[in-house]
Amino acid sequence: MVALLTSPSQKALKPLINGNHHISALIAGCRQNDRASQKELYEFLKGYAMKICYRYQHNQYQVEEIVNEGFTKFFKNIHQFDENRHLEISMALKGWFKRILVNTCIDYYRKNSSYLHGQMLSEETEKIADHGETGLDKLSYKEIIEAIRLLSPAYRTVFNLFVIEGMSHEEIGKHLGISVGASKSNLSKARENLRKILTKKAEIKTYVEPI
Amino acid sequence: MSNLSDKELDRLSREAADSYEPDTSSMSWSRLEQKLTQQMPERPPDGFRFGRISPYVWGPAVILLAGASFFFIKNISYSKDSTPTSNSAITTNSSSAAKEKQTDEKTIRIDSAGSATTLIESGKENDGQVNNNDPDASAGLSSVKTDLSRGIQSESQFEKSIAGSKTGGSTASGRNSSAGSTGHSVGGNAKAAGTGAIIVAGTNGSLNSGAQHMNESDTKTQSTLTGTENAADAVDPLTTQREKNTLSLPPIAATGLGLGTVSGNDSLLNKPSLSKKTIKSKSLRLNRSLNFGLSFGPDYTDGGGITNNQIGNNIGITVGYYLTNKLSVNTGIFYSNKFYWAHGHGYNQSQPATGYINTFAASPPIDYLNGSCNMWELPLTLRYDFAHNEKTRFFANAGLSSYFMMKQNYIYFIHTNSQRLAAWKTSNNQQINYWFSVADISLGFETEVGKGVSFQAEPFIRLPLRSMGQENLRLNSYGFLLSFRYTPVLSRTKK
Repeated sequence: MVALLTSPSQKALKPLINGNHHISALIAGCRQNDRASQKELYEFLKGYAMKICYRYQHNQYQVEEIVNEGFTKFFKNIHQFDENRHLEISMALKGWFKRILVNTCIDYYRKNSSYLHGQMLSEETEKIADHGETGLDKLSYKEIIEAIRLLSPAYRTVFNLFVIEGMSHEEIGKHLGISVGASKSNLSKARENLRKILTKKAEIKTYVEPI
Repeated sequence: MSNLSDKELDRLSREAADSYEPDTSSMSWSRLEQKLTQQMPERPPDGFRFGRISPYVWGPAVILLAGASFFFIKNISYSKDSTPTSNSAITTNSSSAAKEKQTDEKTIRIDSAGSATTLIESGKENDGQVNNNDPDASAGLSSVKTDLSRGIQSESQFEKSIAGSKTGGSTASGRNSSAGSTGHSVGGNAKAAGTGAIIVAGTNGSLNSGAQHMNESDTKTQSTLTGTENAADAVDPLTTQREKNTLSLPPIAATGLGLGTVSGNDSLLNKPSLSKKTIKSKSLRLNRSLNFGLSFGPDYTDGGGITNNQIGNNIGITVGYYLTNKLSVNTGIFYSNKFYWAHGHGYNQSQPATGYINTFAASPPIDYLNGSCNMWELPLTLRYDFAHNEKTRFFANAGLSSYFMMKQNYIYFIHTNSQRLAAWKTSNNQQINYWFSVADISLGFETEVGKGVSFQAEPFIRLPLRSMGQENLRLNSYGFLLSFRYTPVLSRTKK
């Protein structure tokens, strides 16, 4: 949205299109199924949506598919969102949208993961050596996120839901259709594998950096 | 790294999740738009799609059709009821009463004397030339059209006996039976009668006194008719009562419970001195000129050719006053909500849109806008009832309405450099008055559903005579009003 504001006259619009009033108008437009308003809201929220869905999928194409699915649900159900109950409409809208996106990720996982339960680390990640060195400060956020994406779908989903989204094992078990014990086990293995991946990345970084 | 605790790992992961912004350059709106087009087809951008407003076309049409059907069905049944009398002539007094009832349904005439009887006589009977010596003389009167459904047949026979008495040669036995049955039938008539004028022709104490007394009456009546009035006046109760216009109704009829039209024959009434001079009518005229109503209904507003999927509503009270039998003036007050869409060209570009006025030298062009307003409406119309039957009437209504806009809300959909940018919402609580700025045309029907209460369905169209509202739009409104109207009796006048 902001990226569109390039010319001086367009930049002058910025004060208008920020803030509750504008979001409220966009929501009103989306309720009328107005494409212009939907596009504006899409531009406003797509980075946020991508940030959430990116952690749940390794394949970029599938990430975009989930994001689009999430937006479709968002526009279909936007009449259920009551902006009048919130002081900060933008934050409330994002929170509401996040729930839609996480649920969409879970749905996608459940549709495609019947054969993925209990999947172990891939051969590539198994071969990562643990040399006990600390290259943590050398890792960027991107590398941590990419490490999470390298986890198997079952471990990745449980890790995201428990650590990032803050769900309990009971909730995770209910959403994913697994037992609480399986959720805990997957989380433990996800952490273990994540450590290995990060260690490997840190090693490579430490090795390459002096050059 | 392998020494990293779970808590530390979770913290790092959360920080990364919060802070990392993935590249979104590969994402495109077009893919989502395709998906939305499939799953959520967009509202038609412009044009007036007939199908979308079909309820507002078919709704009024169905109401009018139902009303028309009701009207004609009632007319058919009404004409069937009145078929037996349709070929007969109607006596002067009764026809005038009937005409008055037909032309002025606001007046209910209750005729308490024989003059109001819808006595129907054949042409043969009008001359009074009956072969009185013939035992079947009364058969000449059999052409009298009687309304069997209202139990008047016996009444007719009674009249026959009176007519036969003119000759003085009637057999006593025949008269006895006629008179006896008459006394019974008149009372029965009063009980069974429904609406219309009460008519008791030639009734007197003899109706209840039996055949013998009737024979005497017949004889005396004959003397009256043959010019021996002095003698007759002294003793003939029938003649005396008619002369003095005194009426002796059977108890039930006298109470006014029975209202009906009696078709019969009374040759006595053929005599000008008796039928026109001595029998007078008494009528009760009810003034029901004023009426009050409660109306409500949907309102579809077109602000500029864009199909509207939001429906407004009207609710209000009305007052009407009949200037003549068919013409009335109506007014009232309505509270209305209207929703409408309009193209950007409908917006007055010379004025910057509210919200931009302090920000831009020139407001951005508007693709289209979505507006709504709450207002009071004050119609002033003339109504003409062009068709009616007993209980239903069709009318046309035309006049001018005043709009008092109380609150307006607008959402503007704007674009810059051909790229749509935003929607913008404004609200205006300033009251704006538009006196007599809308032509109000409607067509409908009204049917009586109870005593003084009627139901009315009225499809309408309201065409603005000027631009209105914050954005100077011409708001055409279509819809229909459903009303319940109460017509009180303002006064009762006996004539």
